[in-house]
Amino acid sequence: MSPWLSISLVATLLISCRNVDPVITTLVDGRTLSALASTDDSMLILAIDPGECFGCRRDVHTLIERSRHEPDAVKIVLTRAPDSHEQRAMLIAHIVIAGIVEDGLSSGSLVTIAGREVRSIQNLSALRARPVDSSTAR
Amino acid sequence: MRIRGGVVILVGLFLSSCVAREHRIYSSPQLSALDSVVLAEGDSNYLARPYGLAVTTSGRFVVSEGASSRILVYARDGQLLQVLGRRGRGPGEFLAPSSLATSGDSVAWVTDPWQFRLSAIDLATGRPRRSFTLPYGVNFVVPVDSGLWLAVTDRANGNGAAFVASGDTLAQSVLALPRELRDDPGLMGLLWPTHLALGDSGIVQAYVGLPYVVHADQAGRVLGRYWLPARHRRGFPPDLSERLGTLDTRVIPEIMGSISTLVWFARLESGAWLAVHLDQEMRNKRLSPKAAWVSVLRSDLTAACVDSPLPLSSDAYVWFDTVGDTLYMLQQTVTSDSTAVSYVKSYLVETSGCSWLPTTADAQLIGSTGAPGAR
Repeated sequence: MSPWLSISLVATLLISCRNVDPVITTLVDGRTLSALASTDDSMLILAIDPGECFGCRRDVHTLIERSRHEPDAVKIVLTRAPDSHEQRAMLIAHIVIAGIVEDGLSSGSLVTIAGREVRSIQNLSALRARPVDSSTAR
Repeated sequence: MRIRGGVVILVGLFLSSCVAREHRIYSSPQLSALDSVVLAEGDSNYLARPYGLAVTTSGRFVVSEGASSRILVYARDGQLLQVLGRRGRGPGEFLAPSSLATSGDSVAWVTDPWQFRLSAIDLATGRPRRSFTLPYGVNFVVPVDSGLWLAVTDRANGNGAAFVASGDTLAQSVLALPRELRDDPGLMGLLWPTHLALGDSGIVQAYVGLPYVVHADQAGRVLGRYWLPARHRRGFPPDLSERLGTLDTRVIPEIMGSISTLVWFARLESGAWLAVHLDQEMRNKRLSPKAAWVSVLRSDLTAACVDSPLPLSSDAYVWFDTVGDTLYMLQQTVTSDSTAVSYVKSYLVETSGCSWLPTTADAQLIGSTGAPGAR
């Protein structure tokens, strides 16, 4: 884990402000969030709207990339079912989706499997649809 | 029976003359498809978010991969040869590798806008050779024998181009940004200068969201502006560049989705200049490429042959490079079995039979497909 990510995660853990019950929060397939964890209850779950710009925020980008390489450490859930365009965009971006949340989590929510919301990534919607997905747009 | 046959012949001649007349009305550059190469991807080496393509003189493809902050090098048949770099701030590491350029067959220059850095990587060894940290973002690099030309977004000083002499660590800014971009920092960030190309008579800088290119000498003195007429692409409302300074930056995505944006500019081996425009559309609040158009400007920039359609079937943004008179395009799509595929297509660009249009300020900037935003 990069120092930046470690520091930010520790800091946000300390200032966590709201609890999300992973036993109650369900996915559309009937599982609960807690069912996503194998053994490690420090696993992070990032909820994103499938229409968001996945690469526009460094913190989101870092977590999505980490979910590819450490699927037991970070999982991505969607706040709603993607449409066909969004589905294709996520396939191309090689984003592995663990499930779709039925309700209870807004886009940008980051929770531990223990149920504590460690961070809410603000203003994600403001970053949607950057004009050109080009090098310096990030 | 004889009369009926004569009528058929006459009708045929009439129709063919109409086609010929239509053909005489406007002829775009010719694009001859040369090759289509699928880039090999595996479980750990995939192209989740490419942010630049460069083709070496021997035909290898160098791709910057933004998701994993690495550089992937492919053989001309698409086999993966090397994976270079990793996420980080050290030598040979990247945060967001983006625009690329190659020096011959041995060196790749990589821009990293998240840390304002420009790095050279030895493609033979995979090791970093040299790097600069600059006080502004670098959009595009053109290596030359005497150093590096850079298209930059120098917000503090309003500069759009810079030159780094070989051996130096400091860049000398040489070309001011156009006023439309300089006056509004928000717009400047969105309509940043994209590309820089070099010719015998100086440099030419092209911009994503402006309808003209700027020709300057190597000291930065502006020699002329040349407007790119439109025939088939959406084009650009003539007054939009004047209005840009007064627009709310929040409407820029909608504007970008209603005009033809210039996404690639380079000099061809023939001496002419190549421009690629992209017509995009908003899909779920996200800009997606809808059509790509190739135009060529004469070497003296005074005339252009425009709007040859570039076959496009991409679900993601497309990236370009030019070697000689060949245009390379990196696309990504999803197959029927829900597999993401990345491939590079190449086209030979020729201008024989072209219809040339003047590139003066009164050039027709809106294409035949209707006014921007009409669809």
